[in-house]
Amino acid sequence: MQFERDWVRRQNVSSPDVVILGLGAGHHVKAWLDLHPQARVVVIDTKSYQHDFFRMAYPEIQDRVEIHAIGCLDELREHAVMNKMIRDLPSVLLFEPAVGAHREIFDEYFRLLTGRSREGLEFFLRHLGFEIRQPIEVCDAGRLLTIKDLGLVIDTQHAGHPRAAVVRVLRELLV
Amino acid sequence: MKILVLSLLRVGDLVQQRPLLQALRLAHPAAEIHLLTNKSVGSIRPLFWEVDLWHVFDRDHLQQSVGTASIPLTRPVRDLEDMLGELAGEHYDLLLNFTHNRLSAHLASLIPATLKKGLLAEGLAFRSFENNWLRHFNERFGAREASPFHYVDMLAGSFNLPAVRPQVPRARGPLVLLQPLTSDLKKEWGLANWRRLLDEARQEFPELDFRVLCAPFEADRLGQFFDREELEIADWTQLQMLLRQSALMISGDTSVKHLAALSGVPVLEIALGSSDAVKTGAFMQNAWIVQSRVDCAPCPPSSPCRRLSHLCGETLPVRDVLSWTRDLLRGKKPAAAGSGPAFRLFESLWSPLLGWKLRPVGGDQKEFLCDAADQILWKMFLDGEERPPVGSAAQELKSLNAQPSVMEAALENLLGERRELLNLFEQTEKRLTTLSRLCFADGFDPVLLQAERRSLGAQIPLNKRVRRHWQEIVEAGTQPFSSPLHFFGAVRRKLDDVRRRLEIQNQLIQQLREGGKPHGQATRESPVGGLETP
Repeated sequence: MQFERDWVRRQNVSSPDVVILGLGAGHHVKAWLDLHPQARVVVIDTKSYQHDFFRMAYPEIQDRVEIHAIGCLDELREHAVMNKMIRDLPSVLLFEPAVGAHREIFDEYFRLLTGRSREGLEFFLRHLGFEIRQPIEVCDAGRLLTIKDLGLVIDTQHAGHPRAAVVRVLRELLV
Repeated sequence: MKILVLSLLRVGDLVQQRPLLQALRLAHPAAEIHLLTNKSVGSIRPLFWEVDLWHVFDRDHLQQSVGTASIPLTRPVRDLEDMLGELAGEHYDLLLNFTHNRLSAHLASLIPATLKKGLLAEGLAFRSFENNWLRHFNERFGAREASPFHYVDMLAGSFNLPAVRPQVPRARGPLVLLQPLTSDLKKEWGLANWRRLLDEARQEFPELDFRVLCAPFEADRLGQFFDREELEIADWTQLQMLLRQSALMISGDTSVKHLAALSGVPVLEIALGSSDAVKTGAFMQNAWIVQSRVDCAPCPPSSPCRRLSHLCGETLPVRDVLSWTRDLLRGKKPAAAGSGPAFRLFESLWSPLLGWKLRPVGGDQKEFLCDAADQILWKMFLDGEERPPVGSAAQELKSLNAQPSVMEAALENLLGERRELLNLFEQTEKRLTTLSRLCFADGFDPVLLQAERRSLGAQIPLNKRVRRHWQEIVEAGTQPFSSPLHFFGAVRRKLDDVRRRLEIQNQLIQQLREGGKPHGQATRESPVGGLETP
């Protein structure tokens, strides 16, 4: 468990209620909840076969963990987790040892859930009240979008929106 | 009435802004004054009685949210809106943006207020400035040698607040406070030097109580050179108590120095590295400031020293600082002796027309008078009065130096500089016709226009005061413009400003030659080039 505890300590979050990508044996989830006794977490994996093992191994934390098996990006788009993302905007943590050969799909999940892909950003912007009539003009190939990309989208396509100045303030924090 | 002041810089800037907050309080005794500051300056709150309510801009939290990939991209949007929600409910009558950066300008645009002053974003652009001072602050204050004014004078002018009269120093007790550490290694003199200074000064003044100021997080570093009992670990309130019993503060360029100046404690400031004594020296009368004369000083802030060794710190000997300390503790004016080629000692002075100014100790007084004349000229220009008080200004300049020969020599210098500036002005005026043809003619030739722009940008005067007047024209030649029309407009506007300064300069020189009549008023119609034949 030492590896998992170290992983937990390395994470930089402002609230311990997080979404964790990758269940594996679930030791990292246990370590997370041990370090944050009040926290509740959502765990997303692509398959459900490990859930029973996790439930048996750590029955004492089951009421604080919500586990979802989501097999593809289409499924995630329609999933209730997306509503939670909009409502609570929790941090999303990728536990790499549990991802294995599915790294690519988990990366896509991560980008969608954090709004750091073009599609993810559109999703979050819509819920912030921006009218997205056509795909936003930003290149997300092989990288995570940042506040600078968001600023660019706002300045070029939504400059007059009441929230545009909020984004501009945030962009200045990175300069 | 409710007033919100945005002050989102560091604690030293906030301390310097305090007299302005006091002026604001005096101007609006019944108003509720709120201050929006970074969370990191919260510990200084108890000292600011002028402020009724503090709001926090949690920059670190937002910066962390913005910079962490695991946090959804729009979360900081919500966090900032939560922060602003509190301010939106206050319904301010007046908002003053003392911060003057892009972040604060966008932030100011988000906070509802009946009247807003200072840098303010309007969509993607910024609102035009309401007065000359604010424009000067925006365009010139950040560049090296581009503005003659102290930060406090600059802010007072920008917000039409009454001029701040700095404190006159007075020894208040037996404490001598040393502040060796600063926010930046480049600005430090070296702890070994401070150690020697402390040992030798203590030997000469056994009756005085020397203390080394230390923030809690600095204890380890200072502990390598000072004993625990020599260190004074104090918060802001305790520091204020110490200042009330102090005979002298010796410090680098720090917020503690600004507080000492504000409290009227005699200050000896060691301004090294990026410390720019002209802009942010100890804002008090008769402060003593040693500034490095190494050619790279003051260097740009927030970047490491580019020299192989820290020249500006290394060339200031302990014996000189000790000698000045000795003089100050004995109630004498520090002598120039010791001022080597690598550094210079200055004394600060203040007058209503001039503002705050540094006078070199034992240095070239003719040069100082020229500098002072130029500062007064800039002040009258920025004040924008139809009839600037040139008579009083001339009187004030004369009072700075009683020796007629020095004034004569300074006048000669001023006339020479004026000729150079006038020459540049007249040449460029003529070229404006060519420029207008290039900018507006049907057969618009971008190559020719570029050549004209380049030649404008290449005229850089050697004299620093002439350069200061001409710099905006040079920049118009090198900066990008969205259209030839904008370019032409910018050059025209800047030339009009130079013309106005030439007019005021002409009146001032006339007054200086004629003896300067107190409260003399000049006319708006004074010729630009009227003094060409001495």
